[in-house]
Amino acid sequence: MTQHKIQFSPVMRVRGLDLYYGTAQALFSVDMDIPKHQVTALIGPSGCGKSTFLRCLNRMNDLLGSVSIQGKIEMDDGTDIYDKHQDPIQLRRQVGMIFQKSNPFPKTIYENVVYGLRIAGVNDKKTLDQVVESSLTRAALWDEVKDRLDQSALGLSGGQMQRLCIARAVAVGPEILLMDEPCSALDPKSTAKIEDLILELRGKYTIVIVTHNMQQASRVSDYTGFFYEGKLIEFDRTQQIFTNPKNQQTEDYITGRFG
Amino acid sequence: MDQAVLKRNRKVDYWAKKVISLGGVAILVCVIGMLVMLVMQTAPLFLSPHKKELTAFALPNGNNTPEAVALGVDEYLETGYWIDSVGTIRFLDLQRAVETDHQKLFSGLGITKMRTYGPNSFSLTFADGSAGLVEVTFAAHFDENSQRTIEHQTKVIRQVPAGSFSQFPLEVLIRPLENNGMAAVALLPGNRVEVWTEVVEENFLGTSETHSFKTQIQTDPKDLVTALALNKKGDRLYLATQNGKLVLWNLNNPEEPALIDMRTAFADGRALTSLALVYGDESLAVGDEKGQVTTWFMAPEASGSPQKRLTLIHRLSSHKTEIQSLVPSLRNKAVLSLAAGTVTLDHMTSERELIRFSAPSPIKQFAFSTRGNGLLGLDQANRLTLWAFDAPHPEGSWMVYFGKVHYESYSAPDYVWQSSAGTDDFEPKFSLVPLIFGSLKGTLYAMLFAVPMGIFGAIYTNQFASRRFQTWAKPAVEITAAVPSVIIGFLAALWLAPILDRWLLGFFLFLVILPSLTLLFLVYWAQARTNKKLRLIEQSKELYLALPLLLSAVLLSAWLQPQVELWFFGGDFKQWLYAYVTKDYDQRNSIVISFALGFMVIPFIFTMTDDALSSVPDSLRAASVALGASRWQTTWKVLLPSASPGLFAGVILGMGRAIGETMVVLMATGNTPIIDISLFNGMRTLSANIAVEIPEAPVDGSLYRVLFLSALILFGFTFLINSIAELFRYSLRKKYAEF
Ligand SMILES: Nc1ncnc2c1ncn2[C@@H]1O[C@H](COP(=O)(O)OP(=O)(O)O)[C@@H](O)[C@H]1O
Ligand SMILES: [Mg+2]
Repeated sequence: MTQHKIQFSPVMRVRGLDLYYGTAQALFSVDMDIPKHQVTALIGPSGCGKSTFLRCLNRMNDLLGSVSIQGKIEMDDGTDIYDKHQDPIQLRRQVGMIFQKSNPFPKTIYENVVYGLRIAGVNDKKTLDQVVESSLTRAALWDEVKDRLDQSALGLSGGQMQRLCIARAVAVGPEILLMDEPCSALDPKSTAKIEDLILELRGKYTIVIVTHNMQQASRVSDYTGFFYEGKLIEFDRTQQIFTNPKNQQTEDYITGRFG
Repeated sequence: MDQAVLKRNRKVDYWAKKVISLGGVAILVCVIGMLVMLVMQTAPLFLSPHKKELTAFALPNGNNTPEAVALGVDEYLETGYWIDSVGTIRFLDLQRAVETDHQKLFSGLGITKMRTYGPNSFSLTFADGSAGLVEVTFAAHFDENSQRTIEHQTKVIRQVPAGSFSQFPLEVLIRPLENNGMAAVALLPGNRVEVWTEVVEENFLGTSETHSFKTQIQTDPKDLVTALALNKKGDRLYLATQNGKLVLWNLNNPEEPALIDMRTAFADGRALTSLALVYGDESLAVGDEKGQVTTWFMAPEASGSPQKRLTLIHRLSSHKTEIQSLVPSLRNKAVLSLAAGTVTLDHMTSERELIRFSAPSPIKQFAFSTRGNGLLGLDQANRLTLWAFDAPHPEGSWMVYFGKVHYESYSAPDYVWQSSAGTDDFEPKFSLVPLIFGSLKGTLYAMLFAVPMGIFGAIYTNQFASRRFQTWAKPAVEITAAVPSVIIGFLAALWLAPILDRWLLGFFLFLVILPSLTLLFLVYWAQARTNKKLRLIEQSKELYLALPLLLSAVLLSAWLQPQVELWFFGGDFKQWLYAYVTKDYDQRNSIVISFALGFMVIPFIFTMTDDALSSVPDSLRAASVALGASRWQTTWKVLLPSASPGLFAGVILGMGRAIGETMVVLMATGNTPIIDISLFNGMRTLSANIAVEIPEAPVDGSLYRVLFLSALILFGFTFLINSIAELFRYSLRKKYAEF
């Protein structure tokens, strides 16, 4: 319920999104425009529906049983991603996702990165090699792992694994990257690295990041949305939200009075 | 927390740990105990027999009396006797070393030659050219104090009067024939062999007439006959010669003996010195001048050839000097051989040298007790020695259990399991190879059905099916594991086997039709799925399509069976099978086993695969899906590789189950111990064999112990298989320990 129009070109338009887990409603008519090539942070107390909302954007909720959704999520070309004609596989290749806990496959580093390409039928060694180098470079991991691409990804450190997951998502060539608390399981040093990486990726990708770390939101994001009990309470420029929130609940949350 | 609560928790923890470790240790002890028990029951098969000297003493009056020509001992090893060269039989109390009785045989004629024949029976040749067959019998009597006394009796069974042969015989072998008839073979001077037969026939008036026949056996005058052997029925005569010839005559027709075979036994032409027929009268034991003991019987020269010849079958002990005499055991296929004072006891079939020993002075005469539990020996110094020996399982050896053995009346060495038969002189055949083969064959066919069903079923249920389907499919499959195997075996044998028999060709048609039909359907579906309503079916409702497909494949196969049978198989598929595929078609064949045993195994594979798939963290599945992978790609590329140890564990565990399964194979196969991988006949497995044979196996007998040996092998198999499965499971668990 943005009271106040923001000027940008949205890459996704969420309109009146209601979501039910069985009979329990988890999201209440959420409207949000996701700005292109910007970093959008989603904040709010835990259980308020941030992850649920994020999963709507690439239809990962389809994997869960009994989820029902009303409302619309439109891409910039005007198609509704929940339309029956829409192929969720196509969508997911456009909208990549990084999870809270890094989840590399028990395969080599190389095979992790090229997984998305292989399942799309790309098997040309040269192409794959190129993508591995470019993706790992983008994920600021190339220098650390270039000598052990054929070793198991499970031998990497936690921070490296999360960056590998980013490289893996980037390798598919998505437009949007969804990140669900990507640093919550990492130490400060690795967190800083990921934050630097997010700032690097900004401009090339549209990034939506869920975080409960307010500093992180203010450091990396351009826009911030505050969720509370399944509702989007306030959505605005990050600076605006952190310096001059319009909503009392937002202010209470930011100043640490609850949450 | 409250101190008291903490204390109580600690106490509960302590005791829980104790009880749980106790349980664990108890299970371990049970398993080890089982193993120890199996080994203990099996071990006697492989222990070497032992012998014990019971007594030794100088023959009473040994120095003053004539030479001993024969010895004997009763089965209690208490009463011994010896016959001297002037025809006196003297009984001895072996414990007290005194003579108890003596008796003159045949009015005191000098004995020139003695041949043992059967238990305590002797073919004696006398100085006047007559001969007789004498039998000594013992009978145990128990008085009111259960005190045992053994009474002995000497009986002349047949007599050949002097002058019956054309010359003075050097040696006569006598065999009693029915109705007081007899066959006598005499070795005459000048290397001649004469056969004298008395056939007694009853004519229609009820009076008996005796016909005598006297014929000559042709021999080479330059090749000295060194030994003779005549079978119990008196119709097979074996000769051995100085030049190494082994000759077999058929004496069935008393007027005209027929030569069956004559051959040089060994390539080096060594002289043969001694002959004896092994218990059962089928095999001939031959001793030669080089000290080798061998056994022979009539067998095809080359495999498949109809021509039978005397063939060297077993090589037994070898001595340093020529074999002086050979004596067969009276209850099994063992042979005693004597050479230069050393005695060896060999079991023919197992080729085991059971015992080898010599007395302080060279042994010259010896005799088995009738029960084969003792041996009486007389040495050159006229000392009698009595040995007891215990060879409980002489017929067993690694070669018998695991190798090819050329059994009597078989045309070639083979792996044979046949534990019993109607006749007394039957030799049990204990090859475990057909049973091990049967177990593996049953397992193989079961797995052929169960592995794809179990794995694909689990993948479908775990990854593709609707939640509704999942919630009832899993428990349903798990419940089938609880169906008693007897029921499955029963259904397989009495319901499935006849149906399959009736629709055998249809079954094979089905194997072709179902995949083709499915393929055709998929091609059609690829086009039809553009229709949105149809596409909805794909979402976890594949089952509704699979069922009609399956049904139509069944009906089509059934409909096609008679046509195809007519066009391609001359109207009778089974006849065609018999002509071109196998001669042993069995209604309870491996197809039935495949289904029945497979059905037992599927729950294991299904459950393990399902668990393995579920144990792959959801985060990996999510990662794959988020990268745009389809369900199938996710399953194939992420879930299956990660779950593969679990899959292997399931398959191997299923194998362990199939190998050990008893009831199903017992009921659903014909239990014939054959080695034939064919789909169209059955098998006998290790486990079913134990179930079949144990009621027939006397406790502590050879069969009993061999069954324990097979149980041990089964135990080894399942232990190995389960350990491998556990290793796979462990590696699966370790893989995801950090997730
Ligand atoms: N798979 C699920 N099934 C049912 N309820 C769920 C599921 N996931 C989340 N929820 C519920 O939806 C609400 C929002 O959860 P979530 O989106 O995970 O919150 P956040 O990420 O903001 O902490 C919570 O009340 C949670 O219990
Ligand atoms: Mg969350």
